[in-house]
Amino acid sequence: MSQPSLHCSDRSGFLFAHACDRPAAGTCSRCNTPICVEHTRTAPTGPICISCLRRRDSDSSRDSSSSSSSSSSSSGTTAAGAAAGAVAAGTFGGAGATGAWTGPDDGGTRDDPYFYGGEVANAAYYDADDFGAFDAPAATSDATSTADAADAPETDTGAS
Amino acid sequence: MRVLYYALGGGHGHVLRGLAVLSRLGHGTLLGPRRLAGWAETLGVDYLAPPEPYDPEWIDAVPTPGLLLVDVFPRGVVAELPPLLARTPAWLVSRWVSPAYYLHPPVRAAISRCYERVVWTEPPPAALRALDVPRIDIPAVILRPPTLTRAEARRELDVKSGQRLLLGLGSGDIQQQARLCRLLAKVAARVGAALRFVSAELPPLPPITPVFPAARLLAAADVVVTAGGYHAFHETRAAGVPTIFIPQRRRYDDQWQRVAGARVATDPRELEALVRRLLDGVVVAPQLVDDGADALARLVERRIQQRVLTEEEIASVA
Repeated sequence: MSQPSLHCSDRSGFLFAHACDRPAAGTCSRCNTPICVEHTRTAPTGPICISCLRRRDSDSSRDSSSSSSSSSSSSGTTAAGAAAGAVAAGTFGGAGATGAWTGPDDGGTRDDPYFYGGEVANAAYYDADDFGAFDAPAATSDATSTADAADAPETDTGAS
Repeated sequence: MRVLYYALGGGHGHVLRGLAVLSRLGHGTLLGPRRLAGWAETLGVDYLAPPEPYDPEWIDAVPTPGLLLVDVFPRGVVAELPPLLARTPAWLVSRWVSPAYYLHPPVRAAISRCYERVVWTEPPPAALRALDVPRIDIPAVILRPPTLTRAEARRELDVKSGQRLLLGLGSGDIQQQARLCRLLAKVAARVGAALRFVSAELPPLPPITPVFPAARLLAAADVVVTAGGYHAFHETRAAGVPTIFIPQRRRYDDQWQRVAGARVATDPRELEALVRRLLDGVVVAPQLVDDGADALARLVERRIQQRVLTEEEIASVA
């Protein structure tokens, strides 16, 4: 087993993904990332992090829904696969919850706040990176900084 | 060279407006960033890019045009345009821009000193009526390429029959595009739709596609999700495709004011809810919008031929 790094790498939260500042106590038996006691659960394979456990639940939930509902599963799986593939390939960066935990057959996670269903699980589906796709409107006072910036070469980028 | 359209400044919009005008004009050269040269090649527009690495003297080697069109940024204060502005008449082609920028004394002085006219392709903020340069108001300048039918467009995007399509249009910082693409993939998975994400900057791995011009393919989409940039806003309106805007913050633009009154999402859950609602079937009629690019091309042609434009001529075209 590799030496744990200083901090836990699991970003799972009850509602939103965020960095964990607790010291690592071990490593996840599935993804090998360092995890703290709070983020450690027990699986047949050994200690497992919340993210891997959520992903496992999400995968099993998706598998069962695709067998029972063929009308929408193919396109949904394609898109999810694309996202997962892109994340795995490092294209999109970031980490955090990537699947919604919905199943009651949870193998011991029923009373775990990290795995509560309903609105909490829905909220956790979108992580900090997803919220980062939204800019806040500029404050009115930005007019001053805009004028100040006019003395610099223009470097506006993107849609215009 | 009779017309030079200066579209440097970093963004897609400057180049797209230049392409729209020069493709109507049938001649002229577009000066833009090297990374977007392929767009001009697709449309058969002559294209010039600054050297890499950048040489501040490069502008001296650019042939003097009969008319210089400068897109949005006057660049007459600190950037490379002053030598060219000193030897040719110039028009400033602008969209909505933060008033503080054009009214900043050095910028305002450069506009007054160097530009024959300001051509507004969107209604300007009221404060900019104070500029003492003759103005021309024209409709939005967008590409308007020949569009594909819904079936043709879906075939080109490899979307299966009966599949609902969420079409994302990428713009801005590459990290922001990546975030939006990732988010849309998650939304698409939740609502049972396919995703295609148009980007000239992200690696072209599914669901990302570099198709250009994207306006040809808008009919394929059941829902479009995009920032509130000039072209995405005016092109989706003209196409009548259900669109959700996620405005981005820009130093010299205000995407929130542009998309005011349209469907705007401010967080992932609101976005998902809007996508679900639109996928349930919302009919949006295409907006009949006059062709601003054609109007500007005709004004430019007359200016070159006659050297002077009368207000009557401007009114008859714009």
